[in-house]
Amino acid sequence: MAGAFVLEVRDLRTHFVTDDATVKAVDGVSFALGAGETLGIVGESGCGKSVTSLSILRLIPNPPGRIAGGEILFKGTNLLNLSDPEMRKIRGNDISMIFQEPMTSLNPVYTCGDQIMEAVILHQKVGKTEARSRAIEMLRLVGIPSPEQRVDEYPHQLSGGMRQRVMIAMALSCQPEVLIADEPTTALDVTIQAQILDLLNRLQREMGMAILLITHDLGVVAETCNRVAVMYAGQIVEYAGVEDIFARPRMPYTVGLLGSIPVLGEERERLRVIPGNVPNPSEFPSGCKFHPRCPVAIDRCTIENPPLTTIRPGHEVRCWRAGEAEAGTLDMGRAFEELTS
Amino acid sequence: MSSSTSMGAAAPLGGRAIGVRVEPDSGPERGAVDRSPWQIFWREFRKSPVALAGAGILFVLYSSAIFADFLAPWPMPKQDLDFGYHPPTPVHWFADGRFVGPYVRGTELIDLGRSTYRVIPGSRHPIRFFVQGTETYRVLGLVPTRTRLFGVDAPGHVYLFGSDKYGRDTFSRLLYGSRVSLSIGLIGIAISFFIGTLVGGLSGYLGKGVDLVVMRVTELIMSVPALYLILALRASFPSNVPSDRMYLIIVVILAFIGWASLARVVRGMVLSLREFEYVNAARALGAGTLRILFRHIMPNTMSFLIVAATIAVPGYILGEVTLSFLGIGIQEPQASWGNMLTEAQNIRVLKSFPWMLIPGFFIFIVVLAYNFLGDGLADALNPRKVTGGKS
Repeated sequence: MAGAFVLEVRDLRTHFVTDDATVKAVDGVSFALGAGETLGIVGESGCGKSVTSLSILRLIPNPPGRIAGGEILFKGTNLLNLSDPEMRKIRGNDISMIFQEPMTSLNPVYTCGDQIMEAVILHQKVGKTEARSRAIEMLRLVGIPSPEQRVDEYPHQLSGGMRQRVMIAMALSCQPEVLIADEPTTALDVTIQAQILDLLNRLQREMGMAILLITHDLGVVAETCNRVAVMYAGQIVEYAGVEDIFARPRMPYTVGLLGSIPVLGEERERLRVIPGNVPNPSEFPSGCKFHPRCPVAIDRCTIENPPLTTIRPGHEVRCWRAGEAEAGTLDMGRAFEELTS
Repeated sequence: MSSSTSMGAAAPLGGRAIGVRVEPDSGPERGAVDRSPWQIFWREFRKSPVALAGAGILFVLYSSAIFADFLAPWPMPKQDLDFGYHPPTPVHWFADGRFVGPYVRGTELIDLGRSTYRVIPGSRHPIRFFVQGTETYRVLGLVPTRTRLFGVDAPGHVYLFGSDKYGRDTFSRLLYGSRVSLSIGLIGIAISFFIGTLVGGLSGYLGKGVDLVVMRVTELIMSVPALYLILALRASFPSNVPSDRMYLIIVVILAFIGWASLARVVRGMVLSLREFEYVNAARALGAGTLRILFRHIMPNTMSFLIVAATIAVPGYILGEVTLSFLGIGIQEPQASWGNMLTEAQNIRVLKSFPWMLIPGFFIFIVVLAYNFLGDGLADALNPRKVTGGKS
């Protein structure tokens, strides 16, 4: 089993069936996560990041959602084949999740301690006193001062950063092997964001879990991830190590995303943007789904969706012109510059 | 000019606001300022004198229902046919300008047909306290005793609120009747509360077919006029049943009508609460359906449900009154506020013996007290209320 992945997603397809159309929110996504590794999933709103993470825990509301195909392998077991009670044993115990909104993710009628204890009591045969001391220990671990006192406080008595720490304490209380963090810092202010990311990094070193980090913030990715999957319109368009993504992006969408980060000291009238919008999932364009917004699109892009191809070991791209960019004959960044100037 | 004055006025406020600001991660002393939910509730509830009055009235009435045997000078079924429709006896304190303690005057019947009485001049029957009654009862169902709070020696009669056709003491029957009338509200709401939250909660959370069926059933129950439904249900039980079983039948009938509206509201709340992120978080922790419903969703409906239940109690009390008033509820000789009013249906009786309406006054007081209490609870439990502000 050495070197095997803790979590492997193969060709995941999650569809939402509405009266008008079948929306392919996740359309053939594959990635793998090794122990102690952090994989970032990046993309604009509505590209299917969150649906991917919810699909892993099988938390997609059904109907209208449905996992239409693929495999989700946790240590070799396909989660999609498990019964509901078996799945409940996995949730919170082996795979945990922290949510975007720390303000609404805690139940207002219970104390923080009660909510951390719940996971422990659900999954491990321990008494109330032991669960409580475990909760206090977890609060201390996530850096909450005077945890003996905080354990009896209600969510409304805590600040946003504190609540996110409580959420993390809840998710980690059973020492899961995989932690799914769905935009864990989006709702927090910048200094607290940095603290929470530091905390996640530290806990990962101490507990050795794998983290799947869902975010739209490339700064967060640079700071925490080993590998990055860039998603666009339900598909992975670029999948590479974090250095490759930042230094040698080969998909025009990634290039555009990186180019739209303002650079300190650079004088510009307007921020750089990728023109256009994310297409409506019920009416994706033919061919490459990015081609209407792409400055280097060619005729082939409008007809045929490119496959995810390896251009270098550990670097996969979904683009017909990635080869030219890799060879140096095409400067995608420049193409965006010309488009917006 | 005006801006400078307004700034001057705002300055102390601004200064205080800065003083109040607390660093989010400041140390352990912060916990001392925070209050538990109960403390917050009590602080808010105390602000409403009307709600406090309602709670006080209910406390007194329920306590006297519990100790009815002790407070009532007469046992419930005791009659004195020579003293039908006797007016309330005034309590006197002075005789010949001297304080002699409470006493009532003796009376004699002068017109049997019109039930008119004449005070016997010079007669004096002192009210004695802690007298030994003729019947043994048990305090709280445990301690047997014959002691009653007050009474007069024979041949005197003390009718604080007058007497009815059979010469039974209205005051005593009011106390015994309150046991039925007041408890029926609590038991009724407890049953319909249980059914309503269970059915409504499951319906809202499970959705789909369950929801469809349950909601159509509640609509069916709610669309039939309540009084006809009560009468129809009542007709399905035999007419001559012992009074204790009649009590149960009435509770069941009223609860059967009452759960539907509660279930609908609970369903609506669950529908919105189940979309909350913390429900998703609980599922991500591995909690099952029932656990999520009863541990994570239902407690969030409680502040509403407590208020709804409080406001609904008078409905049950009035339901019993309606049934008993129509003669199909609690049967004589068992007293209830409803069947005590049955005699007051007759305009001649009402005109000549207005004290027969006293039970109606108490019904009015109880319903009002419950509504005041409910209003106060709604204010105190409202999470959106700005704490510390004036209501």
